[in-house]
Amino acid sequence: MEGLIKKLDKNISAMVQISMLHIFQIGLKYGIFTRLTEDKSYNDILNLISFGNKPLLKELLDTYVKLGVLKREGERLLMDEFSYTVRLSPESAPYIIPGWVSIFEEIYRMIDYASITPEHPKILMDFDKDADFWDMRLSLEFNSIYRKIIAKAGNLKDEMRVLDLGCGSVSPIEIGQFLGPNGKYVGVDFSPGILSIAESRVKGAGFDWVTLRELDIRKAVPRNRYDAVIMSFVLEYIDSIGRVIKTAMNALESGGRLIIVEPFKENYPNICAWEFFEKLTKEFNSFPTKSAILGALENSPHEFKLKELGNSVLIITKL
Amino acid sequence: MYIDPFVIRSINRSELRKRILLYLNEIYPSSTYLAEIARVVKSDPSNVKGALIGLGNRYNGSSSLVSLGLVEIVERDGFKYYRLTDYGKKVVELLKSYHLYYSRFM
Repeated sequence: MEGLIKKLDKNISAMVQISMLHIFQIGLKYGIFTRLTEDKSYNDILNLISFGNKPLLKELLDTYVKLGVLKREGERLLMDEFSYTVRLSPESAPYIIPGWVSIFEEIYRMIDYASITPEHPKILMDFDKDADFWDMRLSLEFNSIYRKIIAKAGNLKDEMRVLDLGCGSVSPIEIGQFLGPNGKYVGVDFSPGILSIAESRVKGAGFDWVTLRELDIRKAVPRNRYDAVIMSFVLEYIDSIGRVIKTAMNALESGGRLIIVEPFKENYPNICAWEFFEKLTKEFNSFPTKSAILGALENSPHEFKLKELGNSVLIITKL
Repeated sequence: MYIDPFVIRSINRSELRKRILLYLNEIYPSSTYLAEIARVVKSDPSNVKGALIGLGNRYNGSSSLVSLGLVEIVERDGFKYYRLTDYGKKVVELLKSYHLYYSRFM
């Protein structure tokens, strides 16, 4: 388990580092840093840079400010002194999984298309229209790593009942396999495209204990009780974390576990570089903070016990 | 193994290329010759050759199954045989998984 946790955390750190390099590259490619030496106002900069999609450019400039690359002084936007070191050590290198790098490269390329128009057909980040690309992302070894962590942390086995909020197209198989033939897996997702891919796999595997529901998890009101509720890489698309955490806790049996996997913002400095690219998905908000989740738990009427695994996994046991 | 999503979508839109891949997947890891593929997929050998390796102006060589790395040519006793690559096998698996999803757009 410790090895899996390290693998998860180190790959997330590498994702943030690579995103940092790419966000710098965008600034160089579009001459943004050059313009910033010309003592122009924020609005002048927005107009001068050849980036048709001005809201995206604004997002980019705001991200540079958050990262400390640029600073705002009144109406002016200035370059700040900034340096960044990429850390790769003999200790961390063996944990890095190469598979996700190509997917990230594909997403970085989409920024060029998004700079023309947010509706460009080569942007593949829509959950429904681009469910095939999302499935390729969700099928990566990196994603299987955290599913293995979830299975171990939840001690998932036959006869257990599991609710997966924002299940995607791969978890119904990879998590569902632990629960059959006498258990129950209920996967909820709002994308019919993603669910249709999941359904064809579930049917092919003959997992009749797996049920999929097309639903916005913000509106879900589970009627049944579960031994475990899973939320992996989903809270970043939710604007009302408190409500969803409450729903998840309500759905748990006493002694049941809520398992959350997220790159908690406190633990990953500069994660806003990665967030910039994820914002190509219109539902993306922001990766959650651990403190927001704790706040939501404390506001829910249930007693709980919390355990942290590394920098990206929380196990909440309902008492 | 990274699979270009645009390659999958492009193959899905081309019925002949899809049929060729599905047949080569059926006989995988064996290889077969052009005329046999044409017979099974019920198409003209020149069309099949175009889909496999490109043919003049009618079939763009850069989007042929061999150029995309989905099919490889095996030369034996002076004859050419065609076989699905590991990458091609992975693409076929995805095409099957996405069949229901893609059918929404047809």
